[in-house]
Amino acid sequence: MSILSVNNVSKTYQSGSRKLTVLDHINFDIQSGESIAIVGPSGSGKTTLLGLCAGLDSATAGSVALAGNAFEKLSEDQRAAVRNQYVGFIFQNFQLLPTLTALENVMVPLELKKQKDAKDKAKALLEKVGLGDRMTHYPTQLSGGEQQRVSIARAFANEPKILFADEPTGNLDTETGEMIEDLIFEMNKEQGTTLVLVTHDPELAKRTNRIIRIKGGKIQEDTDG
Amino acid sequence: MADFSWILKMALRDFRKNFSRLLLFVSSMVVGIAALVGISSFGENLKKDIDKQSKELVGADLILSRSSPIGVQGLDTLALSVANEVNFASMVVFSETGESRLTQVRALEGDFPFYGTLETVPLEAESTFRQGGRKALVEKILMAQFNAVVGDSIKVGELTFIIVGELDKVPGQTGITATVAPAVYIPMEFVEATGLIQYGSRLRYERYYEMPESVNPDELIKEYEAVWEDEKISSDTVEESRKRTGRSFENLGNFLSLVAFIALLLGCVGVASAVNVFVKEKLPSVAVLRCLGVSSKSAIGIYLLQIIIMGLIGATVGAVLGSALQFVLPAVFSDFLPVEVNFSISWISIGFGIITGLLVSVLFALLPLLKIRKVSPMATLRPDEGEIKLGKDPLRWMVVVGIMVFIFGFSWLLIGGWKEALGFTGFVLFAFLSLWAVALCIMWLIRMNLPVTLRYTVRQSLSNLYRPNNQTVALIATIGLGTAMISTLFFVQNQLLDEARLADKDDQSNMLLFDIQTHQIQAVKEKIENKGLPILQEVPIVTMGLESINGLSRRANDTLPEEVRRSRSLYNREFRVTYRDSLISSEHLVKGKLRSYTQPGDSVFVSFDEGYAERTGINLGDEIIFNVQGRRITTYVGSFRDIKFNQVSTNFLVLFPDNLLVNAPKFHVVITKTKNDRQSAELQAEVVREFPNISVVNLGAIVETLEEILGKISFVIQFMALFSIVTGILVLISSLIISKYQRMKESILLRTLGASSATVTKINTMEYFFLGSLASLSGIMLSFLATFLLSKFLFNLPFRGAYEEALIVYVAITLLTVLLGWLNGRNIVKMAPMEILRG
Repeated sequence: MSILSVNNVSKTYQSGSRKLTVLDHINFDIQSGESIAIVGPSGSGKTTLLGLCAGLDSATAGSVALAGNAFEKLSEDQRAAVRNQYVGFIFQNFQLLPTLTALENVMVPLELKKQKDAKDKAKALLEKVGLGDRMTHYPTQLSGGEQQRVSIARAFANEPKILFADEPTGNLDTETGEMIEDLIFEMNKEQGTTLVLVTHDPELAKRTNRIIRIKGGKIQEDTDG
Repeated sequence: MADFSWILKMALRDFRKNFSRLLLFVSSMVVGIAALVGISSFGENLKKDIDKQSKELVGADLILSRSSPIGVQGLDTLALSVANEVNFASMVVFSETGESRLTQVRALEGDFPFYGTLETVPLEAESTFRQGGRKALVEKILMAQFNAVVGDSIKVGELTFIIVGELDKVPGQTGITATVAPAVYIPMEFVEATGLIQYGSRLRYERYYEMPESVNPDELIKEYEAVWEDEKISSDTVEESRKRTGRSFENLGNFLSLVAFIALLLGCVGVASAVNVFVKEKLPSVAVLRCLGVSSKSAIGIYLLQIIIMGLIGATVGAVLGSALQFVLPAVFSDFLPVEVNFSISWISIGFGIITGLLVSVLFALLPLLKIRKVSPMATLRPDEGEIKLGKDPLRWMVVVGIMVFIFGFSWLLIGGWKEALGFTGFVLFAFLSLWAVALCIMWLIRMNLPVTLRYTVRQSLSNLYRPNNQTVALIATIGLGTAMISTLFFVQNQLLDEARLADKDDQSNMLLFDIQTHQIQAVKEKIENKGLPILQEVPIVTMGLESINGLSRRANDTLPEEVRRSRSLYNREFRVTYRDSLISSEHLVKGKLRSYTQPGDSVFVSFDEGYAERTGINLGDEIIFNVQGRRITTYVGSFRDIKFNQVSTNFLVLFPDNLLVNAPKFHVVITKTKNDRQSAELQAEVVREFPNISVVNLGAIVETLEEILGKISFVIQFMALFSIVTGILVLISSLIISKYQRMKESILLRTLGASSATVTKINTMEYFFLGSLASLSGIMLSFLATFLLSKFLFNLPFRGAYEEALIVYVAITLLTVLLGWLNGRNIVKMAPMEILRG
């Protein structure tokens, strides 16, 4: 069953009188439970593609449908609701809310879904990522690895159908990076989530079961990992 | 959209970390709210006390007043007590020193005041005065001026009186009235003997009544009104006086509230500027929230709720401070208050302050807050997506219109007229827009013309003025507007005083002698000339009444509908006119021409002051019949003159041609020019000794009185301006602290790259020097414009640039900005870069 369907998607930016095409007629489908790596050199359009797939941005042409919801037909607030229901995010720079504690950061998606046991569930997730003793700490009081673990707990909190990860280990040292990779794949397997990650790291890409190579805004290669 | 409880929960979570930051934004408006609540509460308390003390305000239940003796009245027998007074301006000589001054002599008979007392030092002086004999009570301001003590004597006209006490307070009198016309009370029985009741004396006869409880004076006077109208008697009751006083203080209260409102508006700029920076810092978090599925409305809700909470805290603190101001305000306004004002909490004013505070904080915060709506979740992946421009956002313009409507509505509420409110809103808009334009222009100029040859520190500090996250616009607007307000007050006050001092030029008169009887004129002139002084003007004055205009008598005028009826005061007025065929230096012809009267049978053409004619609806060619001591004179309006009333000169609303009034009963004014204060004092002493009925005013005394009055007024104005100054400083401090966070990263980077603490300090200090300089100079320019407009259109004076004062303001404001900037930044340079990088 297809969870994400990208049909003929293009994205162009207007820069003065110049038209800049970042993505050019992209097509692919992702099945539920698949893990996919989008790889390519800097400026190839992979982050833009991730943003369009997650409904963070609108395509100039084409259609993106996530769990049957065609983003181009939805308003920004409706897309936000889809994200809350189906999507989890892990960012390169963690993107935790600086004024909230680790526990509160994880609780946000659960509270938005109006889950009554949000606190207990968030606590359990933080225990799982090994931060049971850091729940009341603010992001600035945590190391980079710890912040990313909070971010992973938050991403899995609302049991997403699909998880988008943008260079999840890009800001971490090798050892911590590997630990974070293990955690992502472990939790992904456990929850049966679809994983879409953008990376430069060939080793990380190899751990997924499908790799889409992108260059100059076009798909160069779509192979099994 | 997420439910409210979650939004509130998120707002409170976020609030924990933002409390101190948001406190800054709140501090900007606390003072403005305090001023508004303070003035409003004071107004409420004053109104209550005027109502409570209304009888003491008048001292009697009913007062009749006339320029000639009142005579027996029908209601005299109805009264429990009656008292009479005749008052007039006259010179009083302090016998011990021989010095003299023009005062308001009040000759009293009876037990006035019936309510309240003449407060005297010593306390028993009032009863001593009433026991009879040649005794006087003298206003304390006069006693202080002439170093007189109880037991000294004064000469009023031909008679000498012993001072039995100094007057501290008289019912209904304020410190200002005592300054303008200090009073001397003498017993009525001696007034004739002073020799001051004669032709030309400007006498006012008053009769005070104490009525039984059962009589309502307002009802009672209705049956006499028609008779009194004929007899030119005016009446005043407690109720009328209470309403009048209440109204005039309501007007004053509204004006002061407007000044407080300006302070609040200044604070609002601080609010908008602080929230702008706050929102900028929050945009990444908003992008994350949007990623996690939070709607734009919910995201705005989270931050708006924090603003509302802080707005409520700020408004409440302001309201409490405003209420506490009640302990101070009665002292500040003491010279202007006719009653004693007591402290009480005005819940209406507190509620008004809190609602206003809440409203302005939300309105002004909404402007930057609206950006949150436009945050793209994509900014989590690409931070540059966070740059948001709201130029074309219709909601933003709706908020701008909302702010304008609020300013207009609020000022309308305070001023009471929509045109004036529109003018005020227009002025505020103009001031903000011009300062905003100046700031943008400066930023553009620096950006385009920054010389690369400049030293690094200078270049860096100058470029900070236009780089992202700069505070240039906010600081120039707030400091500039604060400076403009304060300097305008300062400049106008100085200009008025200077104008009075400048009047003492070589070619201008500085001493005026009036109430000179015809038989005295020759002797007075000789006395002046014997001292080697010039007679600059000798002016005959004839008093007369107006009988009809274009055949319309007072009675006929009264029957006309209100919209076409002329003012009754025109018919009731006693005109003091002179006659000559030429103009003097303080006047010039604006319409028609002066026409002579050469022989009996000629038509008589008179000349009116243009302003007075405009106010009373008199036109060129109108036929006016005057009554001179029973003789009717038919005249025609032949010309209008523009008169400059700010010179030591005699100016007349009506000017007759020469020859016609030569034989009419008259008195005279003589104007001369003394060389110095000593000569003035000598001449004044001699004239008053020899001719006690003649009053003398010299420019020195006018300037002294003016200085005293302006001193009292300016104290109140400065007190009110203090709110704007304090708000300006608070906005400045909060802007500086906010910009500290903005500048922190740059400072650290500079230090990481090897810049010394001294270099970083120098860059920051210079940036604040440029900011302070530009802001204060912009404000000073604006205040020059305001002073010019006020001088030209309100005071009718030539504009004089107060450059020295402007320099003082410039140096003070710039130094303050630099000092606060330095205090604010000194901790950054002391911290280790790593300490800050770790957050």
